[in-house]
Amino acid sequence: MQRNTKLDEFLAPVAFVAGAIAWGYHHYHATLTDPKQGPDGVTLVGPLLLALALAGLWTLATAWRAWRKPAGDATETTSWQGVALMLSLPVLAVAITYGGFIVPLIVYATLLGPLLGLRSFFIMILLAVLTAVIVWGVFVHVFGVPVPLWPARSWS
Amino acid sequence: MIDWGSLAKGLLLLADWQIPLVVAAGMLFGLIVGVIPGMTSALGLAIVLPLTFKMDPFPALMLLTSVYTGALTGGGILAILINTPGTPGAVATTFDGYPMARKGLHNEALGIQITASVIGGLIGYLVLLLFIQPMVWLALQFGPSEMLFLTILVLVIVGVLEGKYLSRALFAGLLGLMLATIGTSTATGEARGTFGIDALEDGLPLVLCIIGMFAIPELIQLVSRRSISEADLERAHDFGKLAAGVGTTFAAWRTWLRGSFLGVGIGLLPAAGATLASLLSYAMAKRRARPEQKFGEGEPEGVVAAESANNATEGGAMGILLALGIPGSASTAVILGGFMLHGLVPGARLLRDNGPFVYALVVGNIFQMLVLGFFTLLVAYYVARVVLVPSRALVPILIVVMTLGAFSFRNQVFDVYVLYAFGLLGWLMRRYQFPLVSLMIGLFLGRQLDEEFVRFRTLFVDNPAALLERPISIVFIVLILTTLALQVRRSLRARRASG
Repeated sequence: MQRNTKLDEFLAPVAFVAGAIAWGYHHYHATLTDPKQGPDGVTLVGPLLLALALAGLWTLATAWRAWRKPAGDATETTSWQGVALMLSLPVLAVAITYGGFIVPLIVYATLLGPLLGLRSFFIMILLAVLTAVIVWGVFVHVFGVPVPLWPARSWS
Repeated sequence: MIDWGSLAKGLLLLADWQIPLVVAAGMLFGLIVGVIPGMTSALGLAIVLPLTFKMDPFPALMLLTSVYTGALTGGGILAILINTPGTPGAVATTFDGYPMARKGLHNEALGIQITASVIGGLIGYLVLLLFIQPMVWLALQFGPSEMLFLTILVLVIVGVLEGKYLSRALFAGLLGLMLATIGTSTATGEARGTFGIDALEDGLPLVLCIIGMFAIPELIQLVSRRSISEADLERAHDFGKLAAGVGTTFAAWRTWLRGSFLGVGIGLLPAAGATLASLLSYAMAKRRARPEQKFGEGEPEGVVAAESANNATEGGAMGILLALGIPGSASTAVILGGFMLHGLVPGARLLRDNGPFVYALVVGNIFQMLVLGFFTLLVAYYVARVVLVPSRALVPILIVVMTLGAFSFRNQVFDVYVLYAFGLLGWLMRRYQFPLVSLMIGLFLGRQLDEEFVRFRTLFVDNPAALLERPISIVFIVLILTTLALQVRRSLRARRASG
């Protein structure tokens, strides 16, 4: 029997399930041992953790069976542009935290297009101008949102 | 069946100069979203939601529902013109819509598509209007046990309908319930699971979790396309032939009546949605076809059947959302986020205490459907040209709007982190077939369940016989067991068949 070679189709659900249950256990334990919470704080969390563990075991069993099938599941593929977009998000979050909104967002919008394969200088300029208009014009002036435009604001 | 006093008060809410403006803007945006393959109505709603933060509740919700309506209709335009459904619900429209376009009948096909969408949507909301009062009665019967078993039933149904794996759907739903327990405990009044972050004391910001989970994975997919479509959109525009399509639709009244009622019924089911409704309606119309009708080769009734059911699901989905606060799809989840954002919690209390608001929303949507017909007939061709815009230029701007929207939610940069984190979680779950709708339903129902579960334990754990006095709970338990048994039988049969 030909085995599916896409190992991530088995390992990724395993990692996801294990991570979720580990967090669930931590949530349960931390709440239960908190003097302000005790058993009252886990009235629902306890049964949920048990159900999550059982559903997790079932998920692992089905993932194992699916992986052993000759034709594996058709998982959605992600292009390198998609991966680049994903990786850019944490970078943008950190940049906003320390650099305010205006500069990081303009730089991000201007550079993301070319990074993803866009080759038009006109569109780059358009994206920069549009971003400035959205941040400064729409959100700050029209909606009155106190957007920290420049660095040196607390993040929480 | 109708509370005329609330209806009259609701009509006053509609007499606001902002309403026609937000409806027109929302509908145009929704049509554009619907036309673009890869951009779903949920993504469109997620983009617009932050813009409603500073709006009054009623115009804000009218804007969201008009985007939803526009997107459901826009999905069919490209299905006819270039055989590419803009939204999954428009798949069945391609079966006969595109063959009609290939025969040079694209104007007629668009006329049919738009008219059938409007009729389906109208019937959906008219049914909802008639059933608001019975829904109030039903919602008021719900206590802790009903809420608990309804939550389980919804998670099971979503698991059966949504994904390939019931196990993953249940796991995702339970994880959603667990995540919803982060924040202040209803039993102790103290914060739990916050890792010391003050911003989490009120729990996770659900609206941002939804925007992140549904919008970011779609952008990740959208960015892979160079431009949305390079197809030839040059076709002659003829209003006379569009009008002929309108006439053809009215003549096929049996088909749209059947399709619309089917759509409303399926819209009530969580996770079933427009795709299932339009495919079933198409299959029913095909089965009842006369010998001279050639379905799949450009039969106008095929388009009528698909589109009437597609838009009628909106009425059913809004009904279950308003009555029980259960979002049946990603789109209605974002609309639910819109309700919560403006301090409105769908369910018995909303229906009982804000009757005029609910009536205004339903009547406003009926008005919206009528506007939709004229508006779409005028702009359908021009909206279709949006697919020529390079998607890689669109994505950075959408990220900027969502980032600012996330910050505007509570004026905290922490919320931007939540948006991105749930975006990446959503991508991971989608890739490995954990249904996002299950997690989202868990997140929405978890907070309420936490409160109800304490009462459930007090009332029923020491006295389980008391459950026999709760007929709705018993119905839910029977439905849960039946659904699970049918699913197990189906799995066993499939396993036996595959050897």
